[in-house]
Amino acid sequence: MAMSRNDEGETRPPSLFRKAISKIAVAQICQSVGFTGSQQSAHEALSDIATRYMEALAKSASSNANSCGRTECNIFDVIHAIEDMSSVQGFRGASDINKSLLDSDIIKDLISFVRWVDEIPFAKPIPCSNAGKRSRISRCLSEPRESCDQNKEFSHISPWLPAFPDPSTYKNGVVEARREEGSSGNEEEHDRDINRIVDVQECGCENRNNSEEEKRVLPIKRPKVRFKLELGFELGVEVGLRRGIFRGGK
Amino acid sequence: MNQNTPSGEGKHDDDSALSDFLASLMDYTPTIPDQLVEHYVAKSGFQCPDVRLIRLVAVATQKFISEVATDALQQCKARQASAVKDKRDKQQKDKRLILTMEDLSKALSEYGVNVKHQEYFADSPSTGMDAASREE
Repeated sequence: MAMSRNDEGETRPPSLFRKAISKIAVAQICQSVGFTGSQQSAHEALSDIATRYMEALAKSASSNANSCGRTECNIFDVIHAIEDMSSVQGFRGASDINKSLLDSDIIKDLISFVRWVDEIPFAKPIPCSNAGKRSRISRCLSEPRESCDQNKEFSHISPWLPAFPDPSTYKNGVVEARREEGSSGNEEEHDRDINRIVDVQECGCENRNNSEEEKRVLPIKRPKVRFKLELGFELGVEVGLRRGIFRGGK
Repeated sequence: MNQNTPSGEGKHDDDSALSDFLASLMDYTPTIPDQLVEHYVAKSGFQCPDVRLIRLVAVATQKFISEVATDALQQCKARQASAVKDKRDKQQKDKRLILTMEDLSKALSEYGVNVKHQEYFADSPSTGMDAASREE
């Protein structure tokens, strides 16, 4: 368990969830075949194989589609992938290279499987929290098109490319307006903060870097303050200036 | 869907059978839920808006798993039949059909999957007992 925690890192809860779902589905299949029970290790191994089978099949189908210059898979890619996956065992008609894919015996076997095997739906409806996840997964399919529909000016961009970000992120005027808006509202607060920091500094605390950072973002121009300095105090005044005691409306 | 078929004259029946099958998949609920298939399939870069192809993948996976499970069941029954000859007293206990790692790995080896597993887990209280009675 400790190892799996290290391996999977932050993605652990969702992966546990999908593992649990695949285990339930595999358990249902095993039960329908006639098993009454299962070793935990065998059960986990078989459900792992089920997920790997799906992944391998999908990878094969998508690489078939990509090699044909498409991004979306169609029925031929899937049938080809299923044939590839069952070519380890071999199947009827595998030697006939001129046979149409739609005529494949694999598909006939699948049709008879669907016809003769009882339909066993998944034991429980998958909870609603998964709905968001599902939309997130299929977002790569739906979102680019939506954005293309939204702004027609980008309709020349292929649908498989990611959507353009929000206009406020790359248009200068919008960003500056937002920044001004943010800073002007908080003048009093800034003043208070800075005064407090300067006060603290007078007491001998070492927040100098912080206070200097604060001073850089002084929101308004303050009235000038003039001092007449005697020679004897020069040293002390310089130090004070550096610390920011005399700057601003103190 | 089938417009770019490399079809000859006699293929129309197959095409219609296939499209009927795909249409029937809309009403069929595979044991492996759509969401799970969609997740794993999207993980591998499979893009398809058509739910029928997702169902087709689900059905293919279900068929594969049930074939493996059937083979494992036959292995289990064969092993029990041979074991019963030796010890008739254990017959009652061994009659339960339990998917074990031994049977599964034998069944999977026919499908090109080599399963390697630990020979035993020392932390299980039933360690060293018969494989069939090691149900968890």
